[in-house]
Amino acid sequence: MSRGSRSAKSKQKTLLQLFHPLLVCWSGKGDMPLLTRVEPVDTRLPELKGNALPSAFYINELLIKLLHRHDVHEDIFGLYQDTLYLLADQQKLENHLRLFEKQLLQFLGFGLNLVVDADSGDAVREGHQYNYFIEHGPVLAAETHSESRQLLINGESLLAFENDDLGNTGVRKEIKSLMRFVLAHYLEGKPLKSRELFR
Amino acid sequence: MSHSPLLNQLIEALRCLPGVGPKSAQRMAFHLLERDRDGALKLSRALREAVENIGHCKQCRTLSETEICGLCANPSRDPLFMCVVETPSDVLAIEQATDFKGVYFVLMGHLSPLDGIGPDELGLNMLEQRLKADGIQEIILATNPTVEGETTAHYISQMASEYGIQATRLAHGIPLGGELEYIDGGTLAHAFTGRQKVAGEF
Repeated sequence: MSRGSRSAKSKQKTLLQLFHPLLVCWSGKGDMPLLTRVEPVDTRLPELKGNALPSAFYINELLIKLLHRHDVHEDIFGLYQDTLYLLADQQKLENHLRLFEKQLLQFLGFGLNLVVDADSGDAVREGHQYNYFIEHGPVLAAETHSESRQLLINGESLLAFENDDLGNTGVRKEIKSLMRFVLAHYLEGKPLKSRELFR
Repeated sequence: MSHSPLLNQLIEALRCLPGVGPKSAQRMAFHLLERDRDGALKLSRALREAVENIGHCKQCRTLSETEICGLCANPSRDPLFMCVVETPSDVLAIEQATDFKGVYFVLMGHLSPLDGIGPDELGLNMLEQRLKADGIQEIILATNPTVEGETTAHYISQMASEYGIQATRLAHGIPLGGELEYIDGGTLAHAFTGRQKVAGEF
C-alpha cells in the first residue's frame, strides 16, 4: 500500500489516487518515510463507479482496522487487488464483499467454521437452525441455552456460504448479519465509518 | 540559538501556516519586527477580526461574516440550480470561469471514511433538508475528479434521485491546449469513453 503525499508535484498528484496500483520507492525509516518515486503499474485500473466506490472504501477500512502496521501480507494484498477488480460488477457487490470478508478472516487465522456443529462434531445440516458462537462455530439451536453473544442462523445459509454460493437473497441477508456479528468481535468495537457511505 | 520568549512565541505562532517551517517562520518574524511594524499590526488586527467574525453561511456553508452570504442573499441568483463544490475557492473558480447563475453548496471537504469524515461531517443532512424543501431542479456535482470526490458525488446523486432531482456531473477530460502524448493514462481513458458527437455540419 502506498501513502500519498499531498504536496506532491501535479505530475505525481494524478498518479497518487486511491485504489490505483503503483510501484513506489521511498527513503527513510520509521512511520513517515519519504516518497521518492512513483510509477503506475502497467495494468488496467479497477473501474470503480457508483456503489463500488463506498464498497472499496469499506474494504480499505476493514484492512486498516484489522491488520497491524508494517505487517506484510502478500496473500491479503492479492485478495485485495482481485476484489477491487471484482467490484466493477456492481450487481454482485454484496457477494464480493462477503467473500472478501470470509477470506480475509481465513488469512488472518480466524477462519470461520461453517460445516461442523462445534459441540457435537456432527455435520451442519439443512433445515436446522444454529446458534453461532465466535471462535467456536455453529451449535444446533435446540441444544443451547439462551446467551446474549450469539446469533441464530439457518444450516442452509452456512453450507451455501461454505461453497461461496450467495445467489439466494435470504442466504445473503443471514450471512450479512453473521459477518457483521463476527467482524464486530474482531474490530473490538471500532466503528466502520465507510458503512455510512451506503444509502 | 534561543530567542527572547516573545520572539519565540511569534515564531511558533507563524508556524501554524501551511508550508511554513521554523526557518521561514523566523524570517517572517524578523521581517515584521525590523521592517514592517505597521504591516504587522494590521495583520494582527485583520486576523483577530476575521477569526472572531467569520462563520459559515446558514444556507451554503461557505465562509461568511453574515448569517447568509452575499451570493445566497443575491436576489438575481436562481435558487433552482445548485452547484455542490468542495471548498470556498472552488466557488470563486467557477464564478470567474463560467456564467453560472445559480446558488452553491460548499461541503468544506469530501467523504473520506479513513480520516473519519462521513456524510454528517460534510453537512449533507443540511443539504438533504434543502433538497427536500427548496424545489431545486438541477444539482450540479462539481466535486474534484478524485476517488473521494467521485464517492461524494455518487452519495449526493443518490440523495438527489430520492427527491426526484436531476443530478449532473462536470465533464472531465483533456485540458484545453493539451497534447495527448503528455496526458496521463487515466484522464485519457476517461476522455475517450466520454467522447461526444461532433455537432455542426461538415
